[in-house]
Amino acid sequence: MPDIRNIPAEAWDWEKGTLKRGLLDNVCNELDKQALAFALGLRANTGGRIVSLSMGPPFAERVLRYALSVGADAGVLLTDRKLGGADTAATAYPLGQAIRKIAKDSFDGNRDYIIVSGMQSVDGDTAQVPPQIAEELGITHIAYATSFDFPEGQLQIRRITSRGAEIVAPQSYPCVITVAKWTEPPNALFSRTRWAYGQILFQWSAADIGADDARLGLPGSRTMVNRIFSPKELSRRTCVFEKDMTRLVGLLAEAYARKSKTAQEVRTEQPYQVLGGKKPHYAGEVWVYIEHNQGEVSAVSPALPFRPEFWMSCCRIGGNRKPPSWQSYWAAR
Amino acid sequence: MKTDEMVLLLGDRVALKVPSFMVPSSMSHKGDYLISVSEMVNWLGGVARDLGVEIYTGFAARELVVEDGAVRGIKLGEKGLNREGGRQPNYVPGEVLEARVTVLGEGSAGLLSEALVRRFSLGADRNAQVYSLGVKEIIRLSDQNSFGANRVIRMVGFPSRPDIFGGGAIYSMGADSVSIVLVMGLDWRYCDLDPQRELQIFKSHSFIRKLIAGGEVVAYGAKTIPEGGFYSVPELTAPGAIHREDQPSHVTFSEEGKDSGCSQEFGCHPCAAFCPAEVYKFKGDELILSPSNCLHCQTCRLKCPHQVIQWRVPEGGDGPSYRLM
Repeated sequence: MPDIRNIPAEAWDWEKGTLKRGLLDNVCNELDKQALAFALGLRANTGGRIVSLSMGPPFAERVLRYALSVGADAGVLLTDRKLGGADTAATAYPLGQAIRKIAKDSFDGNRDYIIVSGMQSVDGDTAQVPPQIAEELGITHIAYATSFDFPEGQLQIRRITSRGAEIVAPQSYPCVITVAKWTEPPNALFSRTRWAYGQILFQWSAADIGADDARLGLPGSRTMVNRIFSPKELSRRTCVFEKDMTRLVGLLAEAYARKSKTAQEVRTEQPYQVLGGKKPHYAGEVWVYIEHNQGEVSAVSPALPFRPEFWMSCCRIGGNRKPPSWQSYWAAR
Repeated sequence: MKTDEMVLLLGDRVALKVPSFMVPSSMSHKGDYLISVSEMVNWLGGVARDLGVEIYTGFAARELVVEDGAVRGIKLGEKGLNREGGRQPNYVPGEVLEARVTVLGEGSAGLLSEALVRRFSLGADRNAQVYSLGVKEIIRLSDQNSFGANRVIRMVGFPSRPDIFGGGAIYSMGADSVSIVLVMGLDWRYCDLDPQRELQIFKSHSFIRKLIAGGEVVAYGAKTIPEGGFYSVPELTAPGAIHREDQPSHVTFSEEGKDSGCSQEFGCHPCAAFCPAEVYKFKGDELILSPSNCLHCQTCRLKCPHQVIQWRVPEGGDGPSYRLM
């Protein structure tokens, strides 16, 4: 992924709403380093092999070299122009296909393996790709892992939940585990780095993984970015020190009314600017991922940027049950 | 470079062009090429790789390995230490890289180069090296800017006081950007001189202000420049080693430096002023160190009046990643 910690001003293409990737360094996603550390830790306990897989332009091979340099056994680069411009669904599908191929070619049909991934990329922040891979492959998915243990030889994963942490165990293999920040990113030895750069990587195209072209890249994507913008400060902030309670309530009410009005004005003044004349359209089904936690809907679920009413209706359709804490949750926002 | 002008800045308004016949031809850059060092190094790295040179970044050379009176290689820095120096789960030791020939390309004021010069007395019978500090900004101008491409203006005078060696320059970086740089000899005698502030004052001169009007700073940086000239160049080879320029590094205080009493002595903290990257800040007399700001210019190590600042290459050789400078 591009190094977004240091974006020079000239790397923004404001008209197209994109980043000029050539002006940014290509780095390994920090959370994928966490996933690598997790995989290395698992291997130290169970033995086995680590195959690192990345999808991206040819220069993404450096990320695989890093994985090899810290201990991975093999690297697979999925690279094809057809894969460019993919959203999360069109990313998960080819990755799923590549995992099927790795399992078939490399594990001789043995299904006793784990797919470990960073919980999200720090540039896209969606956290959707690993669960979508699990759905694609029809396997179990454990999200937000922070550590593991092997009591009595059985793998147990500690994961973050909206109420703290819980310990779960995969009931079947293969499974997907996504990893949160849990340790320090692995460092490479010079000698191993030199070895890593001498290794041959597997380089696969869309055809190699037997992918259906209609599900790849921009044409295969279900979402697209319409517009990208920097949020602008709507009004200047001022501090008022009011001791009279009645006047304070009046000021609050006034400010609230003013804010609502401003937000309304902004909405009407700035309609969506459609890129390249493409109108946003909707086709297909809406999938809503709702996490359950001890019989209730987890508050983490609606953390996606949807409107509350939308979520409420989804929830009613899905579970026919209104979560008791949501109104207060949204009110608090 | 199609035009090279020299201008004398007097006060914050007057700019007098020095007639070209008065400028020695050896100082003129007309007809020369101007290249961004960062871009050139990136390009050159690709060329070297294509020729089969292996380049590995992310490893800091920590010390020279010297055996039987010859350089046998270098020792890398260990990685994965915490603030207190304890080992983290990702600790890896520093390996020794052995080589028949070791070429040092550390840039200005390189630590290993200095160690080599000391170890093999390569600087005997030479002048001591002296340094200046250059602070630079790259400014994006509008497409219709009046500065134009292939132009350099070199300036002397404002804002530096007469006892400060140096000068400034503004030159094209393509048609829509300029670099503006101010160079000051590190032997300035003012304890509160802040080079970044000087650069801003420099930019406020009416002559320069007009040239960069409406521009936007897109990058900035700082580096030291060896100024000792030919007679300060040490012998460039030692048994097993060749010394060349280019590359940068972390910041600690020696034991005796913990309580050096600068504020009593000078009435201010010189490092808070001379560091162009705000690595050193003070809350009263309490030092707040921000090593991640470091631009690796080495000014602190060279300019600290008590010479108590210790600087070494940080883990993995991390430093400023200049793209345009």
